[in-house]
Amino acid sequence: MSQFIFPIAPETQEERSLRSRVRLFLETERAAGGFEPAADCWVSGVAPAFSRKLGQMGWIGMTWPKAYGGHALPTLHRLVVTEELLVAGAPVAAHWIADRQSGAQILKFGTEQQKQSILPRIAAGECYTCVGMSEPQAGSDLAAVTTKATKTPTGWTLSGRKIWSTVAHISSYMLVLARTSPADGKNRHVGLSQFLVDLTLPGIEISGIRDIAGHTHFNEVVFDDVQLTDDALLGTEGNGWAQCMGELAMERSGPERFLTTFLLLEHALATMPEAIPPVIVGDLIARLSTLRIMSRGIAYRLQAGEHPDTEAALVKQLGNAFEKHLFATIRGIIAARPEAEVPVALLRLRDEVQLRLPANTLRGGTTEILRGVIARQLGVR
Amino acid sequence: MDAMLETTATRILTDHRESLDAAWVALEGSGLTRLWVSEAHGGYGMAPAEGFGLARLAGAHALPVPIADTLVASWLLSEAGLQSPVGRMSVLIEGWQRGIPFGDGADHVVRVQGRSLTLHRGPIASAYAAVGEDPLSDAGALTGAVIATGELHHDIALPLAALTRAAQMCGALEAALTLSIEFAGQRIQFGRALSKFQAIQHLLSEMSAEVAAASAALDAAVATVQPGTPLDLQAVAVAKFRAGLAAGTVCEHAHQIHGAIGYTQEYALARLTRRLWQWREDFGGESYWATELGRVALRNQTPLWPQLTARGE
Ligand SMILES: Cc1cc2nc3c(=O)[nH]c(=O)nc-3n(C[C@H](O)[C@H](O)[C@H](O)COP(=O)(O)OP(=O)(O)OC[C@H]3O[C@@H](n4cnc5c(N)ncnc54)[C@H](O)[C@@H]3O)c2cc1C
Repeated sequence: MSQFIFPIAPETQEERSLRSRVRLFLETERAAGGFEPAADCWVSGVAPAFSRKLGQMGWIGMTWPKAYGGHALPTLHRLVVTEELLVAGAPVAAHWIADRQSGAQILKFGTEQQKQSILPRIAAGECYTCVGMSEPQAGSDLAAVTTKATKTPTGWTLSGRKIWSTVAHISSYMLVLARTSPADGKNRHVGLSQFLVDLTLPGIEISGIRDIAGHTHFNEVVFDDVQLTDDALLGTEGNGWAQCMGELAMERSGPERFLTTFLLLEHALATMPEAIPPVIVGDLIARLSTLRIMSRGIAYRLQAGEHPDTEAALVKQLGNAFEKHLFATIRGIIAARPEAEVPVALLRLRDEVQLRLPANTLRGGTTEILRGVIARQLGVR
Repeated sequence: MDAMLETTATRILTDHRESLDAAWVALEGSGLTRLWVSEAHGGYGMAPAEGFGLARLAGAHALPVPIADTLVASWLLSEAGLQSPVGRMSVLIEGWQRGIPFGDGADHVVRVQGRSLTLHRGPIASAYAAVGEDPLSDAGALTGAVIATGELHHDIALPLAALTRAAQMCGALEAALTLSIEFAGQRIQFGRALSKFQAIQHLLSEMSAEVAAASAALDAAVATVQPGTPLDLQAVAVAKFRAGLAAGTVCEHAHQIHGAIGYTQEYALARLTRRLWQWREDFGGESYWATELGRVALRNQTPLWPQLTARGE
């Protein structure tokens, strides 16, 4: 039958009450001036104080064991929380990557000492991490990374250059993909390893890069003969490619791939409902509802210990397309009238979303790369 | 779908491709046409999902037999407290259709006007031409004697028929994708299989994403269906909308991948795409169901997100 599997996972009573609690918390925070809702908040909204509050509420590291500061809750509970945070436009960027992927990697591959010292701080919303995959000459072609780690008597020497590292400037650690031995002829996936790098070490230079809108949320990170201890090797030497693919599945699978522009729809509905025909509203509802069904299916499978990697790529791609469609639709409705007649806040939000939109189909794997991942699963590649 | 039912249905739909009458006799003989007849009326009273599963399977096999229409008719008759006659049945929801599917071979036609139901004797000869592959009879020509009347307790006819179409569509969508993958793997141009071209791979992956989305929306809607209660209109709307949307992309890409051979009557693709184009129009197209969803949302005074999450999907 179907090539891809998305089990139907109806919401449980606990999830519903969790959702209400998160919503109440966010309303209270917002009313108290704790934050201004922003589209794309998981990349742009850096607010350590807010992250710590979420940590206190128990909403970071939710699925991790209690021994490491986690809360041993189902993946679907985490999905409820992330959905609510995104829809509220809450400033969650500081801890987002640590919570979403780095923490899970450390949990899976880290030493006992690393797990005990790092994970509780992440769960508390105090310790942030970043992804060190891309390099100037290695984007979609990730296996082309040239950052190199060489064995020393006490550990490793790391040299190279990572780029586009979101939140590196506030992070304590970066998970770096580096070459530890040469490629095996044409097979470049061998000889790569992942390192957990303490960003306070000497020889590391982090410089911000301004994005299209002038914000500095991503960075270039240069490693100049950085001396790493033995335990900085995360997981197994030579297993870096597989580890990164697992990490990317977590990076791709969440609702941030279709909920970052929802704010624009909600705002348009609130301020100019008469301008939006029912057929348009329903079109967006139907597409979004389907994405939510699929996203729950992925969370359900992750919870069951499965690896819905291709499904994650598929939902990211559909989600990215939905966000573009939502923007084009709402923008079109706004464009039917003179700007002077449109609420200023709505125009601001439209412009903000426009400036963020091109990144969605790049970060976490471009549309073309994701299509390739899906095609491979179909057996045509 | 229950594994044994699925095996039986698949065997019948595969074995009797050449003889439609034999296919029908086998379907009836195995009881598959009575999955949705309640036990009180001599049927199996199977979980709704089994019937939707069968409709999906039938959609994939693309045989011109009124299995889905007969299932829907039997559900409506049971709902109205009436016995389902043996034989092929069709459905006419007054005000919705110009054509009655398989009217020319129907032993009986169930006609629904509002909540009133009448059972008519078939067949209806007068042909009505449309985009689809299956025969249609002009709805205006339904004059056969009324042999039973009943009342429905809920406005179930339209959503039930629409969701059944969505199920047939998901089957046909999967089949069109499979056919396209196979074709692209075999057809050689420029010295290599079409599937080696990235442009073709990307069309296929886009198709598969559409199929997966339609399928997820269908599964979610089917999971909400309970016999004897109204259907969840929201879930049905999402499913029929998503299947229709997928049909657009999948048919377009499938034809593009197949080239001229796909544009022939003989080749298997048209059997799927013509039905998809018909079924997406049947019982409310994407815009109809989107409008329904949008109206409900706009009437509600709360913001959209709490509405969406209140549904507990
Ligand atoms: C906002 C933002 C945040 C990011 N954050 C991080 C981060 O935290 N950590 C990190 O490691 N990286 C990060 N990235 C980098 C991101 O992963 C890369 O941008 C992405 O992998 C694409 O690489 P590239 O930009 O070098 O483009 P390229 O790989 O050069 O691609 C350019 C274009 O060519 C296409 N293309 C490339 N190869 C093929 C092919 N084989 N077939 C068809 N088309 C192809 C691509 O799809 C794209 O359209 C971020 C990027 C952005 C925009």
